[in-house]
Amino acid sequence: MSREFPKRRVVVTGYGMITPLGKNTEETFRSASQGLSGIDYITSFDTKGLPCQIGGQVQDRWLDEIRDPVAQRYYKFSARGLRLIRAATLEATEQAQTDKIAARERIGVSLGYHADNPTIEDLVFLHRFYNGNGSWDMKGLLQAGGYSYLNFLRRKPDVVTSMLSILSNCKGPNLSIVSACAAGSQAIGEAYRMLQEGKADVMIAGGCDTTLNFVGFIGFVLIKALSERYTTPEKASRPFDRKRNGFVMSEGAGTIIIEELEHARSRGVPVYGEILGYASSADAYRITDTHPKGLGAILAIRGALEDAGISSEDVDYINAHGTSTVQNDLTETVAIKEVFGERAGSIPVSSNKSMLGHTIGAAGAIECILTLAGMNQSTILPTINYEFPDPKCDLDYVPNVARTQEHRIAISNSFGFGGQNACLCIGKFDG
Amino acid sequence: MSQNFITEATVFEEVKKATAETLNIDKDSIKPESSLIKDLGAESLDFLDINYRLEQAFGIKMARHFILEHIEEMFGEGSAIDANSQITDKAVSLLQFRMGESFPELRPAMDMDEVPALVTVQSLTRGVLDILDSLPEKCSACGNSAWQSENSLRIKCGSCEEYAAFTNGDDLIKAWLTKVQEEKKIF
Amino acid sequence: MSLTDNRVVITGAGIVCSLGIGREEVWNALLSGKTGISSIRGFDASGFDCTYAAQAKYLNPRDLGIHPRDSRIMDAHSYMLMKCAHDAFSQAGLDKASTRKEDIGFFAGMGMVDYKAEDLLPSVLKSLHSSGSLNYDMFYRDGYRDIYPLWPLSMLNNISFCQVAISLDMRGENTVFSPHADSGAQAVTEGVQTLLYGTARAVLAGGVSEKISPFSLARGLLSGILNTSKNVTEPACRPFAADRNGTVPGEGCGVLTLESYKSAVERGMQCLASVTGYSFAFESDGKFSGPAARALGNAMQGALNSAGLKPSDIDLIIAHGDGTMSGDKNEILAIHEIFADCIDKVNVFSSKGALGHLLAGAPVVDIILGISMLESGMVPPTITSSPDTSILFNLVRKPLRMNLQKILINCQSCEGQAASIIIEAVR
Repeated sequence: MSREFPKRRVVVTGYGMITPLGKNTEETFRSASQGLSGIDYITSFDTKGLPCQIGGQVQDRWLDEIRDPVAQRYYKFSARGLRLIRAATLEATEQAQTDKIAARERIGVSLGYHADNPTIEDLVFLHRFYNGNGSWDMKGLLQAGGYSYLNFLRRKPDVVTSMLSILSNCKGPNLSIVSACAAGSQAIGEAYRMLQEGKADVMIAGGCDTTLNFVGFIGFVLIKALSERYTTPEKASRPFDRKRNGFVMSEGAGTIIIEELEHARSRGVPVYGEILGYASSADAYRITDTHPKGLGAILAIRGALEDAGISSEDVDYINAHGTSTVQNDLTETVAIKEVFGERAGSIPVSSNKSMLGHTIGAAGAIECILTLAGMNQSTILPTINYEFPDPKCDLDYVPNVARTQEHRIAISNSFGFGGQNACLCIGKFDG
Repeated sequence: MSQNFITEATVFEEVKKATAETLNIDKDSIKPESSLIKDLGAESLDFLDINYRLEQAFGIKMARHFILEHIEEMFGEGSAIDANSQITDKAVSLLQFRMGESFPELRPAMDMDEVPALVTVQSLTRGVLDILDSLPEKCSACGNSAWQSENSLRIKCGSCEEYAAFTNGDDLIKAWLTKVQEEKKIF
Repeated sequence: MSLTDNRVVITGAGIVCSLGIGREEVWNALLSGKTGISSIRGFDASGFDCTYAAQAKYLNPRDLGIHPRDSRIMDAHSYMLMKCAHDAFSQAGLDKASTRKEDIGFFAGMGMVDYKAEDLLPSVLKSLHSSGSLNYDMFYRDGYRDIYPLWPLSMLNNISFCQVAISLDMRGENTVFSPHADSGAQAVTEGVQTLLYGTARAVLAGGVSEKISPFSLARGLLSGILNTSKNVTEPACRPFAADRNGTVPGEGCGVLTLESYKSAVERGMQCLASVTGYSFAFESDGKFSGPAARALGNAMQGALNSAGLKPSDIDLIIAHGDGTMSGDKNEILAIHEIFADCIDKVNVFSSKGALGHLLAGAPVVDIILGISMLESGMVPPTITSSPDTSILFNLVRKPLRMNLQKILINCQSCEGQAASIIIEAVR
């Protein structure tokens, strides 16, 4: 299929993140290169009696340390997600110096985020107004102060995107994406497309999620998606390992600033990498089971390479989705083998989730940044907790120890719940 | 203690009902030996649904983990699943002992991924009955031995009206494994 | 960048709303001045300050061929999306076409999904002390086991979307946006761009509202945009009226099939309209009731620019017109500014007086109504009352026969997003 307009080069001029491993990119990357884990016992809510009691938490004091008088007044009635993405975005916009740009209607925001969940207190409060059989005493609820539960500023997925636009004074396109685990990548992909189409000059793109609260957590416990067998919290997330038994939930945020190359040059700002291509696909198979032959994943990976105009021969590194579930890691391995053929065994594949856990909507963004940072430092981050090889997953997963290796072209996979897939092709920028 | 309030036939009917409703199939087409995955087309979500319905119907908690995982946890890595993701001989003999009948598909070096297909309507029924048989002698709330049946599916204390509390499915499996290990010393 | 050279056309349109199922039924009702807004039914809304809504007729999943295994995690919004997607798909002949599954893309704007909170409550109820306070130990240890385990799936925003993809086996490019009117517009425009970019041969693009429930209503009330006046006289939603007093929630969904003009002709499909321009802009009005007038104006001007049109080329504006004080005021200001040179010839229509506010579904439904207008050369009446005296354009309040070639459709979100899309007749 031919394209209607010439491809523009889209480059990264800033990035930022806040994760269980660090309050900014540098801290996270440094700890990740040492193979450290950000997973621990959950402290933000009581987990006694639950079959899974671990997760990756962002330290509150990192958030408290940020001086942000502008956003302060919004925090009390909006979601924790806003604080996280704001932290990540402050780092990114400062690096990219986007505040100096005059044409604010040419800067847009594209984020993956799934909003807040009711708290235990909300539920305990709520049940008093339930009359059974689907009927509620809503008047009583509202009069008794049901506001906190219904607070649309916490529960709408686009609130964080809009608030960020307001706080960062961006008047261009505004996208709120809710494709589960693929949301962060899709947000970057859609932003990349916006730039290709000339709908904006600069896009702030990324994702955040804070599902690490009781109700959000319980949801995944109930469908048995989380790891429940681990010797210590740090060892629970073990992508591609034979003993893997579910993912570890985490919270976090990641933001990149992308713009058209000439625009970046005219601003005289440094360039940290390039988004070479993007593609998305759908498994169209089942809601929670991945396609056994990885058809959707294969489509997304091939599509990203095609969009980038590069061949599978040129890929030096694969940043895996690698959630540590029995299914995903196997499907992803199958897909990689299918796309890369004989080369598959010699391309390093690693999963950041082994150290960070699964940050859901933030994952695609955080992993894109870590991939870029890795390329710039010629460091390939490891997949930690790799102890028991799985005969069915036999690629080079960069086990346990980071590797010094120059690499220039990488892909980053994100495969979401429900079967939505996204793949970004990322390149080192040489000028 | 073994209980007589809820019969095997009742449990079997309820398992068929839960399966039929979840999978939207004709109840009469379900046989005791029907494999949920191979014969009835169940997927992973359906197991969650069926288990939930049985838990709500009988007031019990079904096991959340399969017996192979329990074996691995109790007797060490590699005791049930080897380095090639296949079932060990010891695990096979244990499973055959537990399941009672012979399963031609159950054989050494069977791939781990094929094991869930062994779950049948009969084995689910067995699992529910095992849990019901963990009925304590006395009611934990009032200390009396006054169990009564309610609606042929629930067991209630005649003294204080509290529902019976059963051992959960996972703990039962663990207890069974401990007992069998003591007797047969397989591992 | 001009879209006119390789036009993207609409070859299928599925619609469900309070006035019916399918374009013909909805159009006839709209043309005859019917409204879908009435007192809320299905639950007791008497405790609310807004008791009106435009509820869609309930779709039975069985009639849609949805397996109970799938419907167990679906609700009204999912059924609407499924129905409209299937209709758009089959109208465009995609069910019989040789188009590869991986070349069919799917984009949608999803309204907020309200899981049934009552699904979470059994665990709370069973874990209460006799005094009524929560026994946290019991709740954490056992209580959660009483929650229906598939509940989390009905809570995830993208599940209904994925179920449609599974049902129609669409494997191509996709994204799902949420939850406001702009997300439906984004779905359409991303669909258009994906076709122009060359990564799909056909795209389904749609938007669906929320299901109206006690929670969605309470949330709407808290957002401050609903009509909460006591003793509401009908019409309850009055776009651009002098005595307008807020909007009314509506249920509905619209899905379009988009493809290139060339592809439509090759496949022998009827081209219902073409999408020739669009633009987005964001600027909050500071009160979270909508975008500033400037953003609305920028979106309209941007759409005109991208279509290569002047304001006077537009025959009709299907406004966002939701009947809120500030939303309508800002849109009036914006239209006056952008269309200043021809303002007395500008015709404006709003569907919200009849269909309520469909949130993510609004722009797609409006596009589909626009298709019927282009086909018939008629503009239906806007259900409202005497127009605001500041208005300089012609608010269409009686069926109007006119030469219709180019229609501009506006939509906005509470937080400040404005979007405009232009569709044109295909000759």
